[in-house]
Amino acid sequence: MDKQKFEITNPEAIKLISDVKSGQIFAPVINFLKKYRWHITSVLVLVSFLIAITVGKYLSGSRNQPYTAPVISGPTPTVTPSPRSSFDSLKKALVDFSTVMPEPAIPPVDEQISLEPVLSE
Amino acid sequence: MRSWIKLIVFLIIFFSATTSAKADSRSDYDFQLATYRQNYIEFSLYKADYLQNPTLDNQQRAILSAKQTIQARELAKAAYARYLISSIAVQNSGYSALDPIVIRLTNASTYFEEQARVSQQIITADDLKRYALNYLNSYVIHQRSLYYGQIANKIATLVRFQINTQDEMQAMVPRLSTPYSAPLQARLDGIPTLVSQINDKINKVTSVIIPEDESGLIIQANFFELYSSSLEEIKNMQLKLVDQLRDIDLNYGQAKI
Repeated sequence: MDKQKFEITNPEAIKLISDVKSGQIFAPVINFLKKYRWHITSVLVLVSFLIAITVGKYLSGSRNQPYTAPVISGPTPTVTPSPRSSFDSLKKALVDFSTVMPEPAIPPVDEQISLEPVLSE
Repeated sequence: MRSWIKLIVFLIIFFSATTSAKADSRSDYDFQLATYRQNYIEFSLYKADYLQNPTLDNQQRAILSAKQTIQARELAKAAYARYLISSIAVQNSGYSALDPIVIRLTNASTYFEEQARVSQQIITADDLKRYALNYLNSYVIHQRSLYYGQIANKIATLVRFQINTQDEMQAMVPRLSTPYSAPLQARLDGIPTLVSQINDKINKVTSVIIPEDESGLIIQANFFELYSSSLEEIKNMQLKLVDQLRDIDLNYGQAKI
């Protein structure tokens, strides 16, 4: 069985293939890139810079969070109930008992109320 | 059973009445003292007016104000005497050595009330002068009774502590584990001696509250200072006793935890 051979006969296709082979089809793109190469470079640098700032900010924010120490349960003090006695209330009353001047005290009053002039007046 | 209920009701009424009497005499004293202070300020102004301008009108105003001030002063003192009597009574100490002082306080209360009544008979400046002279000659002994009452009030409280301590001790004895160990027995043996020492000290202080020589005025702070150290000494002895009994209760009794 003979091997079937394909042959391109369409002139537009032949032209397109030849343009691709010769690189003529990329000429407008290359011309565009050549024409605006500094603009494109500037935009790329700016975008890179913005990306770098965003990434840096993210990393910086995550590192500056306040450190919180993990909660570690400390030793629980052992509560020993103090022994109670029926004498406790008596002792408290005695401790609270004051032996100083009683309240109310006798107020200082004028014992000589008269119309006679006194030296202090 | 009914007699028990009657007894309990009687005790409740008795104690509430005594407490109420104490509160009433205290508020009466506060009221009379405030009245005296207010009246005295007015009297001082009227007296100054009279001395600067001795007209009959100014004299009458000053005499009227003096009467009101004297009345308030005497009623305040009478109320103070009643306050001390009720304070001593509320302790319910049953300590007969304080009876003479309570009688003195009762007499003082009667005297000051009488003086408040007599003061209202003052009409002229001569009446006021005569009243002041008579008062100065007679009030000292009753004024002293108030100071004695202050000490007696403190003594009554200490006696109440003593009674309560002995009651608690009686209640503790059945809780002690028997037979008594030697250390417990030694501690118990020391208690009566300490109780006796405290009682002696209380008796000694009480016996000298009313001195033989009652002439002369008393300066309140100085007078009370004479007894403060003795009262403090009794208090410390009682604290020592209570500490010892508490220690016995906790170590040998069946104390509640």
